[in-house]
Amino acid sequence: MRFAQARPFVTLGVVLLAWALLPTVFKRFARLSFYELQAPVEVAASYVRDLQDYWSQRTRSKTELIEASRELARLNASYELRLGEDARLRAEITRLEALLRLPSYGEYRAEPARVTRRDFTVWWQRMVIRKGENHGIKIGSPVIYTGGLVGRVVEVHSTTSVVELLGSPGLRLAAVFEGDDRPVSFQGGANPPLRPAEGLLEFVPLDLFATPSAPRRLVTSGLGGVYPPGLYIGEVWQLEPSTDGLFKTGRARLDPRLGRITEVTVLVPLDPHFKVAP
Amino acid sequence: MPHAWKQLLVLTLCAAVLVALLGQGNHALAPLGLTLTMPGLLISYAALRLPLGTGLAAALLAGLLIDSQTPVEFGRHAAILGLAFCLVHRVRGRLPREETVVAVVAALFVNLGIFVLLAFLDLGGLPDPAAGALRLLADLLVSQLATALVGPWFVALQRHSLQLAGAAPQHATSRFA
Repeated sequence: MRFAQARPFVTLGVVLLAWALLPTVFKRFARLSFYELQAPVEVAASYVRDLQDYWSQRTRSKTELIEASRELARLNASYELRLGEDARLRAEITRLEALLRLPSYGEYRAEPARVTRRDFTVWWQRMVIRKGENHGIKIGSPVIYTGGLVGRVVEVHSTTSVVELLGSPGLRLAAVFEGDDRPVSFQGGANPPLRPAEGLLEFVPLDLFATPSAPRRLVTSGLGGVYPPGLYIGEVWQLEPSTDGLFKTGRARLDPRLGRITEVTVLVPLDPHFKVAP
Repeated sequence: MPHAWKQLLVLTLCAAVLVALLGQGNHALAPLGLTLTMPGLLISYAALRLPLGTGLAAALLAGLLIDSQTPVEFGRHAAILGLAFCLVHRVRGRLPREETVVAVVAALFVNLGIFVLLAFLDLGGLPDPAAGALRLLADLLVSQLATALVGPWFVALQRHSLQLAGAAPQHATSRFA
């Protein structure tokens, strides 16, 4: 009678023991198989959302469309001017690098991708994008959007990739305050409900200040070689002396648009030997 | 195909449907900083109605479906759902287990238990445990509400899918009749 009561637990124990003894290769294969089985559902759902957007756009009046096209023409003109300026600055950088024999910044190829699924829990903040090995996405590639840095690619599958966002506790990077060149440590991980995610700062020099009324912009430092320098991370609104008194710790509010993001750009490194430390 | 295999296949497909729908729901809820999770619903019907072997296999497969999409060790959710399955299976003899409301209430208790277990195991590892606890509490409230709303539909989906496949579980001998 007693064994009958304990039978479910004994069975579970035997199954878990057998699972623990299985070779890692089998588990890896099983994980990939389960993932790839579900991937088409997500991708299909994202195409359906795109179709919904398309049909909702079809309901717009001609006047609205004409206004939007005028606005786009203005934007295109200003972007063309910036492209010219960009080419001039690139040539200048190349000239200075050659003159001073400096190592050049990493070169990237921009790969735009639609977001198929956002998965923002308390334990992690990730999103799945609709491009993977089929578009040459590499693990560790930085991901950006119009507002700045999104995160980095942590998994690449055949037609999708998984991006770990700035707000994820597992993401750490070296950042700098805009206008200052001393690096500070940024880590995601404060994800309160009904509010945008926040990141935590460490090793902030004592002479830097930020308050809710006078926040400071935080950008990537470029150190470590993964993220290009100058990408917007968030707004530092709190800085306090750390317990050891040598530095300050603080909080940075991330852009609320990160929660609604629908399209990102993956910066795929052109260097064939690009590898990211785990 | 043997009866047990049909049951396993049907319940795994139902679990895949729920996991996919939850994924879409969480995609929409992401700007609000809330997450829906319904692990209890994935195992409650199997634990209350199916034999041990088939039900446990269905619970473990549902766990692996979740594991494949999350950055945790592959098999973690399977082990947690397996344990929850065993606990519900252990007490099912004392419950009027053919009732939908019992399956939904069991799912609510399993959800609560898993939230508490995860908080106990992982909350300390977060860089800001206070914000994490607040978020976890909000997620629990939203998830329980959603489980109570979606539960009857999902139990009916499983029941009717099994009937359609010709693999309906045997009626339990009930002392509550």
